[in-house]
Amino acid sequence: MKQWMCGPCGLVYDEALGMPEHGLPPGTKFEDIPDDWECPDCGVTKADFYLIPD
Amino acid sequence: MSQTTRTTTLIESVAALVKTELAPLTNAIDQEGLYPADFLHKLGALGGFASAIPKAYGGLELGLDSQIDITSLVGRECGSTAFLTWCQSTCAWYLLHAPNETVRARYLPQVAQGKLLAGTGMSNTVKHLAGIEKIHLSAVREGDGYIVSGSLPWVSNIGKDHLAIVAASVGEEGYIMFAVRGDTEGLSLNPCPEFSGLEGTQTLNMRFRNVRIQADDVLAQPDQFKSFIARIKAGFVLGQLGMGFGIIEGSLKTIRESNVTTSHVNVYLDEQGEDIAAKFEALRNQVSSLAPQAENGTALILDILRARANGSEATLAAAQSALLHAGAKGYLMRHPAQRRLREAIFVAIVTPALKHLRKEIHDIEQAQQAKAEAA
Repeated sequence: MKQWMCGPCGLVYDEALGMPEHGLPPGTKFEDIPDDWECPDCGVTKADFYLIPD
Repeated sequence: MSQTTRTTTLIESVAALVKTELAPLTNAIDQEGLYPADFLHKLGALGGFASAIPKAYGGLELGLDSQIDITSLVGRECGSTAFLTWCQSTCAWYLLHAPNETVRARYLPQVAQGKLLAGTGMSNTVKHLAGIEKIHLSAVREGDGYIVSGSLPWVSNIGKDHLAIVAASVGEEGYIMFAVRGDTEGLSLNPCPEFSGLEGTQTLNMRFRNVRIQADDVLAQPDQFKSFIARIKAGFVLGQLGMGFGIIEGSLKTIRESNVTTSHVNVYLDEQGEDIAAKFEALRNQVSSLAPQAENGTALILDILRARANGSEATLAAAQSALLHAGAKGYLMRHPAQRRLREAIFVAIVTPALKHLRKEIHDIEQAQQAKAEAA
């Protein structure tokens, strides 16, 4: 399970936790999130997220 | 009435307004996120955003240096509202220098007089042009206008009945800069996660979904954009120093107050009030000489960037020293010293942030050195 960070606003998407409040159950891999998904905090797309190094 | 007399009258009027209308709100602005709309309208009616604007557009024609004084005067009481003062006066600055007379005539008098509140969403573009991040808004031509999509994470001083001035890329053509009203179809304004300071700035996330921008809302077309940015940048950057100056003056006040009871121990601190005041005076004089150059378009951007970076560093030093002078009582939420520290950090992180300024300064110096070596 990996973590991804939104470049502009710093929101972290944790694959283990998902974002149930935004329709992403725990365990949802970042690559399985639809391409038109938007950062809930700032509205940018998946392309603006970066993999956080371990 | 001479310009000096008019400037003095303006400063006295604004000082009185700050004391009666802003000071009672400062804690609510900082701790409850109160947006001081009424104060902004009253400040606008006094000419608080219009010093650098000609009389023909509803301005006072007193100069950019006077505008920096006004922002500083507001910042002496409240850094958050000083930022709003900068946002509003800077939107007026953009409109004044816009090559499109139609957009200038439509919006400038209302913005300069504070009747139409306005936010500048240029942070992303300014960082993009400095090679720091990608641009978030894109536009495609449709007829003589554009269709704009994308998201700007944080834009301050905006609302449904406000104006925002932002920029978008137009593919290979370059960029446009345009004005958009907050209630335009396809534009949504969303709340941001809570900030640790400046919560009273009505800072929202702007999401554009196929928003139509008419040609007469465009400040600069792609072929005008580069020269337009070069024209407005010095004033945009220099104007922010008003925020820092206000925080420095507020910090000096805290230092003087603290020394009433604890000067015998405050004397051991590295940054003394007189040191801070001397650096501040030198920087203020430098900015006074740069402001007319920014207005007439002759300022060297390297001088402006260095002054702005020095301003960030001086603001941080002053606010930290004020808190150290105040001691534990300065750590109370009701004491201005802890608020000043959060406001000072904002001066150093708002675009252009201190790290951004140092990068741009480095890039320009490197380019100048390469040019000199090639000659």
